[in-house]
Amino acid sequence: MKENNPNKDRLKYLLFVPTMVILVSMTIVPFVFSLLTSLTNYKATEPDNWRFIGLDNFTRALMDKDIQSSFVNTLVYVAGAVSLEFVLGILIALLLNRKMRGITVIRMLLLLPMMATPVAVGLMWRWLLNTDFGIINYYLSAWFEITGPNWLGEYALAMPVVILVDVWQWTPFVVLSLLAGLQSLSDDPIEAASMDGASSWQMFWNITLPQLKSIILVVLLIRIIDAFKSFDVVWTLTNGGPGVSTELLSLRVYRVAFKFWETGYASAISWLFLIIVMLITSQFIRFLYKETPK
Amino acid sequence: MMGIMNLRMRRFLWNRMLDVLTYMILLVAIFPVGWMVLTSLKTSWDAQSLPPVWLFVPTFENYQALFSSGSTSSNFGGLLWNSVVVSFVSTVLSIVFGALAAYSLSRFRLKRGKDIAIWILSTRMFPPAATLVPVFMMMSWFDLIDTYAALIIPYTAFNLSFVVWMLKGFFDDIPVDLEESAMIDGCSRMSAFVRIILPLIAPGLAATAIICLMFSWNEFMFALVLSRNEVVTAPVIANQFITMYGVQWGELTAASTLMTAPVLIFAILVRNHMIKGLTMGSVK
Repeated sequence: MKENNPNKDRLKYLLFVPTMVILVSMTIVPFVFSLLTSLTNYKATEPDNWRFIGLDNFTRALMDKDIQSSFVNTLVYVAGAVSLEFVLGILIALLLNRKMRGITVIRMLLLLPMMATPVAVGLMWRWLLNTDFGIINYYLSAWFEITGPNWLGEYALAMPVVILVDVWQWTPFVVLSLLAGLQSLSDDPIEAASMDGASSWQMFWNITLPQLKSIILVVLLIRIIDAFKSFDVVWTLTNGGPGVSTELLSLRVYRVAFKFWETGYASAISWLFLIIVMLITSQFIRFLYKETPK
Repeated sequence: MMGIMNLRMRRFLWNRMLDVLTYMILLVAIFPVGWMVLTSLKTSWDAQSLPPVWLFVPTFENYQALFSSGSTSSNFGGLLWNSVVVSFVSTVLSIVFGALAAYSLSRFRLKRGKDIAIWILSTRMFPPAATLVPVFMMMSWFDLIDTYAALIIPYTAFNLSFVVWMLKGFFDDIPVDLEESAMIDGCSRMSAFVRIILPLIAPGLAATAIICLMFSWNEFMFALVLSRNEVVTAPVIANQFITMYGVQWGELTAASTLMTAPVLIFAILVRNHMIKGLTMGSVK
């Protein structure tokens, strides 16, 4: 085993070839391709009739009211869902971290919402929340004599409800990650602090939370990235409606590309979407590196 | 004495209250999926009746309808088969390719190895919607729309960064001495990798594969755009139970149950590794 065996040297790079071919052909090549189409007025329905129009698509996108509102919707959705998931997630993780019977079963059941097919999740909630046939409004009126609102049909309500469905689906992920973190912590500092008469809130805030910091930050990053990717649940729940009140950027890209068939314009929007997500997540990663020196 | 009793009593009551709260949260977590399974076992009449029917004789008529010709989705079996093909092939490809790359990252000193690792990880950050349009154009360019390849290639790509990152972690945990002693005994590096390293990481490998399967099985957006008739997967058609045929709750919930069940069964089999997998190895 010589260190500078040329065969071994070749092997260690050869092992990357399949991964690199697939990743480059599904990320860098499409990005270059869409950068080129974004400079044209190409429409997939009229493939022979196009010309370069410079940055027109980008200036149009920046002025487009629908793009602006889907951008705001995306930010509201990501910020709303992820922050609620963390507040609830931490509380529920603490709740489950007591000595409890059946904790293995509970942990297994908590996998349900995030493992269920998202399209099925969207359709189920759409049914449960339906004004006329939905079980939620039925029991609201049968038990409490409240006329339930049209959850997914009202402008002001649709976005909060869509966010709550995401919260329903992904809070268990936060709970289970933090629970795993909590259970790997040693009891010693907590015991010492409780000997000294610290309150449970002080112990949580000053001892438990700092130890969980790195897990919290990583799980937060994963949730932010995945929330930006959301498409299927919102698609099946509201399809962006009513109006464009729950239309996320991902749904907007789909609509412009495959309903209006404005391929060039959709490519420009895709690029703006990519830049926004990369800016936000890379800032977050930089922050994360600063906070958790390794 | 009374004070201590009171304290114990209060702590006991407080704990029971927290137990009740826990069960209520659990109920909210499982109700929609549970209701889906229950409804799929009702007659189509019971499925849409209000007040909701809680006690009923289970029937499989919705499932039979899904697979019998003449129903709204006469080829649901075919759709499930498409889902199986696409998700299994893409999972196998991403595990094989990813394992090779991860092994190289873990064991060899590479020029710019860290940059490569970070680049591979960063591909997971890209929102798929941003590549949807160009991938669609490339696939039509190569005349691959409505073929298995059109779905398998992007799914493999989406899973690869996750697989490389996960498996690199598993390989890093295995001491190098193990394979070096095997190589001194005459094994080639590749056979040491297959015979010694892979069996050691088998549980982690299984969990990683199942998360890949789950992703490909559940994926909707690319399937919607890149399939027409031949390779339509189950999630795409589930949506059409509402938009095209009016609402058929019995059959829709049966279809949803069939889509969700395989993932759940697999997830339960590897439940101890699920969280490690879903957090890309950062939670042990």
